[in-house]
Amino acid sequence: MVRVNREHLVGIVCLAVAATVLSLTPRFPAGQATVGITGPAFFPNVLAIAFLVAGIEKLVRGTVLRDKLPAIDLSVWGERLRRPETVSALLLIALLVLFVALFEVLGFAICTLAFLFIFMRRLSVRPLRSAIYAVAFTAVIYLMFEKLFGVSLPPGVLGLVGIS
Amino acid sequence: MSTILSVLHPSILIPWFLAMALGIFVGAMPGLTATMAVALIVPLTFHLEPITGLAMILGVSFTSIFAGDIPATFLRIPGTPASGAAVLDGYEMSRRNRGSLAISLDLVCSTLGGLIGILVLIFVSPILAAFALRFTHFEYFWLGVLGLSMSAVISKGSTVNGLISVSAGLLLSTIGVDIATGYARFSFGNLELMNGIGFIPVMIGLFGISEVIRSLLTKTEMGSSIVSEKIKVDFLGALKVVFRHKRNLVQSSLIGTMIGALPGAGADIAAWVSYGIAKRTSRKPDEFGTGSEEGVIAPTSANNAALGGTWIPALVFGIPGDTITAIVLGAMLMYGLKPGPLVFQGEHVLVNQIFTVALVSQLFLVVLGIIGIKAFSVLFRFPRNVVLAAIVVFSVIGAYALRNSTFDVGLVVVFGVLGYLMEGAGIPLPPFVLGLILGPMIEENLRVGLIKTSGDFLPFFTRPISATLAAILFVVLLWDPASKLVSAALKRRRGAKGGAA
Repeated sequence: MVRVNREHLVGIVCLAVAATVLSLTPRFPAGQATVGITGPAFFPNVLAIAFLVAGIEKLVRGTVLRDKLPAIDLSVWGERLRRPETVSALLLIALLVLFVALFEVLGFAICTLAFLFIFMRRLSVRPLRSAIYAVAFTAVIYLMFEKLFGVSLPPGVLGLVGIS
Repeated sequence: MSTILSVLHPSILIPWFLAMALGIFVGAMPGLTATMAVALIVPLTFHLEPITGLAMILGVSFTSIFAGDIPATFLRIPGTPASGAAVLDGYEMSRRNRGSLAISLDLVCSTLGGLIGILVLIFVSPILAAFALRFTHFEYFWLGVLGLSMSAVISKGSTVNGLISVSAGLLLSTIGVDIATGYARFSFGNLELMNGIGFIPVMIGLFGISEVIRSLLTKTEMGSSIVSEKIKVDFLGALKVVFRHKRNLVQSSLIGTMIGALPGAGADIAAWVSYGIAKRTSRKPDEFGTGSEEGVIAPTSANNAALGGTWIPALVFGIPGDTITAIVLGAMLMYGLKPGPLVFQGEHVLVNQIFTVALVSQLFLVVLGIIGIKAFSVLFRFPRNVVLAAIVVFSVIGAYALRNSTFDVGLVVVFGVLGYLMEGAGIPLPPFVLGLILGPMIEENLRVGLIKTSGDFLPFFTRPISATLAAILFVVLLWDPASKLVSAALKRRRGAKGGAA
């Protein structure tokens, strides 16, 4: 059985990047007829070759040093994913993805309040304190960005009911 | 003397000082740049005397560039792009409970670097500006590659990992509309991607959000403060440290000024290049990246010195050195002034006043810097679980504020996760940032240069400044392998002699 290690994984990612770039650049327009080198594909192609070389080096290195490097063991991942620290990190990423998705729709105030409250609760801040901090930070950000710096933050649904 | 007194009038002094205080506030907020601070100030200056307006603009740029180093040092989030390189050793010092010294060094170096930049501006600006104007596409290409070669110097560990990181940064910089042909590369019809990948959201994600993720994954007491030491400003102590590394300070400040004087290359590039050169010329290069005092001195002196440098082509020729001076030039025109060679003859009083304001601003920077550090140190005393939540939210809103773009907030999240994975795989982050900053400069100048010469590479090597930069590049690249070969040969010879004896 092949023991896949970190070097193999990085190598595969590099080769995937190189393959993606090299498959896309032929669609780019050519450069000047007399100076083909100046086309928009030139620079990305050079970088794809760099990724290709790095990817091969990583795969070779991972194979040569396979007995010295620790193998990636998927069986421990289940236990790792259940750790409270991992759950907190994954929750942060999930909350941020939701924040991005709903920022324009629900608006700045609702998204920020909800994010702060849920995230602080997850990090063991007491409910009342989480609520107070969430309201205070949201107010500070609103005053600072919207009023002081003139940044227009999306009002979202609050804008529909006349609060913005 | 009358010039000094003329700028110390309360009608100038008060708005100038207040603007500099605002600069501390804006600079320390991740996502809000020094350019944004200047842009905020400019509309307020139109009803004031030109020198009052210019004092406010100059002052705010100095304080915001310095303040960007405060979150860089304590939270690993660069407040402004110019603070990217300050993260490397400043944050490592802070993690080792030496944050007070790091931020004090930062303040001293920002002040002294700023002073050196201004002194160069005062005494040699016409010569330096004339030199800077001799830079064409060929020279800018080599300058970009020289800057990129610093990624080999600043990378820790495997060279291939450094290559992967810098290539990824360069590749990312190619996304968007190609300026030579107008073709949208790697955009897949997405309008946001056509505009290219913003540098600031990437940096906030790579350094800031990835650090929050790491912090969550580490078993730490969430109720404790995020900065465990009591932050104090030891200006004199820091001065003593800087005196020990005076060569580094002067070298980095001069590099910063020189790079600042080149139109298009600003304080961010100056900081990275000076960091790389400081590491290369240091007696203890291995300490860089692990909390080295020299690693703090180099970028923090260079970024403030670069501000003085950017004023050189702006004042002498009316050519903006960076986005800040581009706004300044616009403001000067609004004041009825014509920047360029004639400003030194027609407006010599104003020019002297600008020089005086720039020098006195360094004094104000010390005062406001100390106040700013004290103010932010209070925030850092809050419990870790509250500060982490606040950091995330301020970072994403800061990223949004740049272009009012939710896409940029998405970039913060994507690059936060990517930054964490990259570091986990042993791939260093600084070369990635360097690639992203320098990619457009290198590609654009290479391609336009080649178009000019119909594909002939020769002018890249035959023009005097080009050839000099190329020679420096080869020395930088070959220095390490050559010195290793020489020391190995010397060791073998000594071993052979010892065996014979």
